[in-house]
Amino acid sequence: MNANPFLKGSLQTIILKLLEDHSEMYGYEITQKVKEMSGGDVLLTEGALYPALHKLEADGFLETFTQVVDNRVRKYYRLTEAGGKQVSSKLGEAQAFIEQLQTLLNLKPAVK
Amino acid sequence: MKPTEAQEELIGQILRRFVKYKDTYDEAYDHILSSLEELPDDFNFGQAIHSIIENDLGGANGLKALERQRIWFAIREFIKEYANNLLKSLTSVIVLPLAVCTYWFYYAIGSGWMDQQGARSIIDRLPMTVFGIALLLYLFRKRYLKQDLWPRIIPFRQTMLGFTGVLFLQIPDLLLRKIYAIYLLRDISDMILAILFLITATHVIAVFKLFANKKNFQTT
Repeated sequence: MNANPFLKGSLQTIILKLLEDHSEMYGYEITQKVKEMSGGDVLLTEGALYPALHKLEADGFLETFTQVVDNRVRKYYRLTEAGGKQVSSKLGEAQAFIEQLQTLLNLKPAVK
Repeated sequence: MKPTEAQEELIGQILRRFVKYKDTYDEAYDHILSSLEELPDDFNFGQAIHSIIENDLGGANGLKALERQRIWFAIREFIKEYANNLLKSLTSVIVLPLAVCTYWFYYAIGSGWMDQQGARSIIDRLPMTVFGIALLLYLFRKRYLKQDLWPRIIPFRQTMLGFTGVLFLQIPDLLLRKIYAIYLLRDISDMILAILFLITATHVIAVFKLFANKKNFQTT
């Protein structure tokens, strides 16, 4: 993953949000989606992605199912009911954190 | 690039050197092949594999770490499932009557209400008889019942749990008769003895059910 510690701390939120928007995704698909959405600026390495996915699964926020694609097993992740609730909570936390940073560092939101 | 069958086999061989747990293997294997498919056909296969394993998956150490984490989560899940099984077993409908019967047996024997020899004879024969009947009913339930009625009334596993609990009636009897070194058991009240063996029975079943669920520790 991108070495940015802010991003590292937000990985679970990113995953949960992506799965809320796309209902079900597999690991590689998540890395590609993040890369595409960030214009190639954010690169998730699987060494960071899979542990985060497994942690969310173990905590009951994600559930998995498998499909055979091109003769190999593909594992898909999707949100559980608890995961769905967790998305709003995590997004709220992220929003609050960003606002605090803006206040503390006297940053102005970028205008495009 | 689309890997050939031999190349796919090679990827499998490389992964199996570091990964034993099927879940980790499947996920890493799919990831590598998905990455390869994005590359142009003329890309060097060896270089691509090396790059994906080293950079994306963190090399051998990364794969091993992934495996360790997955196994730790599986063990956590295993313990959670065990606790759930135990709780379900202890609160199943069959446990209360079984507890009453178990207690009554020991009380009857202990207080001399029941003939010692007669009681032991019942204790020796009853569990196997009941267990046998339960097993036959389960095996032939679909043949003789139009519907799967028996498990609907009382789920089969709970029923078996109850009968296994009856089997445990024999153990304290054997202990009291044959292992004289265990004096502790002689002083335990009938009630505690009954509870002890019910817990033991539910524990055994909970563990058995866990191991029956092979998905937890499936290897490649």
